[in-house]
Amino acid sequence: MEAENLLEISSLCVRYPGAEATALRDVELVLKAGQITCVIGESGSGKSTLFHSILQLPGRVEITQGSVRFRGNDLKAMPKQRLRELRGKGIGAVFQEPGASLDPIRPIRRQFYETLRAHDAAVTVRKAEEKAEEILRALEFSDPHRILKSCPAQLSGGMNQRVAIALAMAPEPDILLCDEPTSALDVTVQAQIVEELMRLRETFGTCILLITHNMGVVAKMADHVAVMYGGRIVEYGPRKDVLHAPAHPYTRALMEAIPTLDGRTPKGIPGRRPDVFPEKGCAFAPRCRMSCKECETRGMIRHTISGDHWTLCPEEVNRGD
Amino acid sequence: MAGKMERLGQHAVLRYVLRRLLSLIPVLLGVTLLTYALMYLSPKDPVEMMLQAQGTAPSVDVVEAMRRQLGLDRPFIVQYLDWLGHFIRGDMGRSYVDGASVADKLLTALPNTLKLTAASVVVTAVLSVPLGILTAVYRGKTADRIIRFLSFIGNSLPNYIVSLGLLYFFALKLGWFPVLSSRSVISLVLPTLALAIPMTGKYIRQVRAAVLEQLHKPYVDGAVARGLKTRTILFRDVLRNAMITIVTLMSMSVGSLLGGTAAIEMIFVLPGLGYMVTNAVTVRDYPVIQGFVVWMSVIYVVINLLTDISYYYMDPRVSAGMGVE
Repeated sequence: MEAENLLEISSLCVRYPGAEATALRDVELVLKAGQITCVIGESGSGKSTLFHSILQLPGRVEITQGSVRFRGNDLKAMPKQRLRELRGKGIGAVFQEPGASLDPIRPIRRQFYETLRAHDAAVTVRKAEEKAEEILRALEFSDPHRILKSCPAQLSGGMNQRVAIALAMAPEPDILLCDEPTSALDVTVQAQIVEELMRLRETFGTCILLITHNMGVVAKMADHVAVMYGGRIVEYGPRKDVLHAPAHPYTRALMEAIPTLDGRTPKGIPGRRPDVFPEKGCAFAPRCRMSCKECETRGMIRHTISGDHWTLCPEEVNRGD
Repeated sequence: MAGKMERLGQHAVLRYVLRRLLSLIPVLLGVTLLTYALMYLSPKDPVEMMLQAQGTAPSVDVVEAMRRQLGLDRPFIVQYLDWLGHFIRGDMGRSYVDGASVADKLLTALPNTLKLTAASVVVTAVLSVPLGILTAVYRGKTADRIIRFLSFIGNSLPNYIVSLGLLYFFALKLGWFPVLSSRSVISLVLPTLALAIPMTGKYIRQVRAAVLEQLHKPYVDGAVARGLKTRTILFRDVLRNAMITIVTLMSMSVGSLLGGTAAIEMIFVLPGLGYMVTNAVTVRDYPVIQGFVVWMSVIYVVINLLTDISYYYMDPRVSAGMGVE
């Protein structure tokens, strides 16, 4: 059975308020129920912009073209009140900085209560605490009571990030957006958080959009992978296809840049990421080994490799002919 | 288990309070010695000034006799130790000018100062906290601009100018309030306003800045992302966090107000500590000045202590630092 399309992003162009340059160009992405989609790419490739385009915090990004639809409803056209209800309940978010999304001086149990209360006026303090405990237990916190009584200022970064995930999950959102939730944490905590996110998907069937730098995380978690460069998704497809048969030169370069334990020296991507990407043509062309003259003017269209695996670069497609 | 934790917490606070109160001793020694030294070094002689004030032409014999009588002929350090010895036994000495006990003088002056401090701080808080929040939330909007303009004017006016303005309009022209103070509550209104208006001007800006700072904190994004209502975020999270800053600033104002407000006390004829100490300094009335300095030291240490204790209840980071967790 085909899973339901929870979130549909189509032809999305986005810029930062007051800025001229377009931060996202013609982004096309579908998130299906129960699936984990990982977004990878260098810093500045537009990953966090994508996160904010979906979350729609006031004043962050400005949609200039296209749409983000949640269950068919355009977020841009949604009244403020509905958007507020959607945040948390429909779309939850986990931020990069561990615990920064938590009020440092409010006991965590109060933050659970307020979050649940925001979506259900009938929630009592007791009910909220029961629910919070249930979630913390499901996420295998060793001492939920102590955690709930503490304030974030009293807990470690890793613990706070786990609490932030639990708190985002409290209203049982359909989609959980995670913006590099592990990059500020040490490796053992990273692994723990990856496990937790996987368990969330199993337990609650949550659809997860995970932005990450970490290819290991992608290899372990992703159902689908979106590779971003210069504000565009340059390649998208099932994990296996993208990781094992990358079709865009940028994806291949990213793969080669991963350090491995077999002694192979990782290759960096030549050149520097420009601060402003060209309006026309392929943004990666100046750093690409395969680029030709046409690349700089070429229209960016999606070339299907197979099934739902596609790339913006025609090179692989042509080679296959 | 929870009860035990609570008790542990109480003990830690108590120990902390005791430790802080002990720190009062070196503070008092240092401050009183310093004031004594400064007064000793100042060129005017208390005996001459006293005699001049009485209209007597100070002859050398009379001056010498009086200096001996007051013990002012002894070396500076002996005078100080003498004062200290009496102070430890609970005797703050007597005024050179009228022979009244310093403790009595302080106690007589205190009520007016306390009344003015309490009233003006309450009025300031009641006005500036809501207005500060309003300006922060509606930043850049008309309400913000108007309130900030008014607060700028209030902040720029010295309180004695405000006093004169208030007296002119509300006492002289309109006759709503008495010009001279009586013991009634109504006579406190104008001096309270004279103190509160400039302070409110200052505090609106402080509250606005504190709230704005908090509004830009990432936990606000987090709360919005969880779907919390703006009102909940503002009153449950932002304001609590901002309060820590605001309480700190307010406590400093309380400290300085408790030292008396000489100008206001004189204009409204409400003789308090400010009035008392200004007079004492003019005639080099050492015992009274020393008494005042002791009072101020105690006030500052106690206010700081109370402020820190309030952190304990407002900010878990502080309670963790006190060794409670």
